[in-house]
Amino acid sequence: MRLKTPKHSARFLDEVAADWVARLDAGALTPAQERELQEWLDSDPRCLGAFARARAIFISPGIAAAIPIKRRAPVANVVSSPLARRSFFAAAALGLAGSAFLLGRREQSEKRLYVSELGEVRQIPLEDGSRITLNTNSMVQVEYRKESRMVALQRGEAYFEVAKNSERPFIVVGSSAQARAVGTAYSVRLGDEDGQMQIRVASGRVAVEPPRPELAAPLDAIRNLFGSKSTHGAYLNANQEAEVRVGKDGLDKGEIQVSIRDLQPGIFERSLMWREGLLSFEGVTLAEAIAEFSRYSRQKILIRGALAHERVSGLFAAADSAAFSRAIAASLKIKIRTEQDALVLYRP
Amino acid sequence: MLKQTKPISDERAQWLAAHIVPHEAALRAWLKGKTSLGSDVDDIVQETYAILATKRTVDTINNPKTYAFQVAYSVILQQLRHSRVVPIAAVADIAALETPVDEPSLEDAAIARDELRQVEIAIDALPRQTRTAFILRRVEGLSQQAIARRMGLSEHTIEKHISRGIKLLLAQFGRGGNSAVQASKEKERPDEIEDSKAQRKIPR
Repeated sequence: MRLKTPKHSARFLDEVAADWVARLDAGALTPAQERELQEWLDSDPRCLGAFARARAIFISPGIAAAIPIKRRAPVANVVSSPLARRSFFAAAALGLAGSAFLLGRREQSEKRLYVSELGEVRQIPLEDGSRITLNTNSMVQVEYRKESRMVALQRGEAYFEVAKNSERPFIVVGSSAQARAVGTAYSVRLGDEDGQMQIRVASGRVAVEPPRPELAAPLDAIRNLFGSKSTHGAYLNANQEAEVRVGKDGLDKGEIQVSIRDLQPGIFERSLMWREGLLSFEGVTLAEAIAEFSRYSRQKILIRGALAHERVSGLFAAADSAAFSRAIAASLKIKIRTEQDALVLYRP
Repeated sequence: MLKQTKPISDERAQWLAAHIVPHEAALRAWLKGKTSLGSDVDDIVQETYAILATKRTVDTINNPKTYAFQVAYSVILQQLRHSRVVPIAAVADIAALETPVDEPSLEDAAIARDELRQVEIAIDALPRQTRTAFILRRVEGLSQQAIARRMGLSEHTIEKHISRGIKLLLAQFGRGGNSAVQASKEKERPDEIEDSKAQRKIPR
């Protein structure tokens, strides 16, 4: 082994290594640079080690994982982060004007509206290889602009599988926030209350941000997330869920609040069964299950007596409320009768 | 010439990132207990990475963590052999070194969590532009050129920002404690990278 004089500190080697990694990341090296790098690496095994470590740490998934800025609350499991007040008004306006904001003035881009009927699940392949799966009774408007892929979720719920293209962000605008993909699969669902949204991420990450008409330049979004104090967004990772709702801040002004939580393993996959026209429940209350069925069918199911909190599990065809009712009646040992147009579950 | 253009292949770098980086904190904690051996933890870690990076294949490594500990151990032994005077404590410690390396433990998980926190703090403490550039690169996946266009800065400046971000991470990663100081020092630096070529491009 050759003599190492003078011996550089590990920290010094780290700094040189970082410079090389950043330069390599910028693009191909010139032959002269390549020689220079090779000479440096050969000068001491620690140089090679520092360089290998710098490259590995730079690309480490752990680094990306450490970046979500809005940390999960450790105990309450819920964080409220006020989005900008002005975004509240933007959201309100968006609600009123619908997709008016999405009319790009700069360029003529085609907008397409896709609608699914009650009980229908619809696949929408998009030109860039992305795919939208529309759940029951839902509506999206798709507008592919040059610099962004805009999808306005106007009703219901949809699952998005996004072809990666960091230069052209894929943005789903909902009632109160937008969910911007960073190469990803995720679902967005509008809730019953105004401005209520639920965003769940299957893979990759999604930025949940205030909706902005001019939006979409990642830099703007980043500034949103990190820049001004009043505006926060949040990054969602795989198997996380964000609930967005319009709440009140301390001064009783409207603000958009985002809470993030981890999804238990399997929950999201199970909930995505709707893409196959199935609903999967595990230990949810009967009331919750019936509410879910009501999204898919006009067939009403009512319950009489103290049945609402009975727990139900199983896999059911989303469009077949009657079969669901029969299965529930059998498993809970209760009865069904028909009252006008509703199925009534009751304990005799 | 078909020789790789990068001295360490992408595959190997990814393997290190996936299988060694997560255990670095545990490795350092273990090595720190052996400081009486007179070796510098940073040096051993660097040499360990060097060996793992240049190994012809890593396909045969079933347990990368155990393997990394063994490599680090061999580095220590080699250093002991090379030093003329072995500290007395070292001789006793060699026995302690022989203790087999266990599977990832709860303690490891705690170390890993703590480390994630440290990295978060470090990233949070980066100057704004450096952080923006770093996040655009690592989270959003933009190229340095694209980031330069977006931020209206020269590519050279972006490279500097990326390099600065990496430096901070290297200082932080696996070392925890002492680098918190470093992080806050970084924060006090002016936001713009001082560089002749780094002037803002004039917006159109």
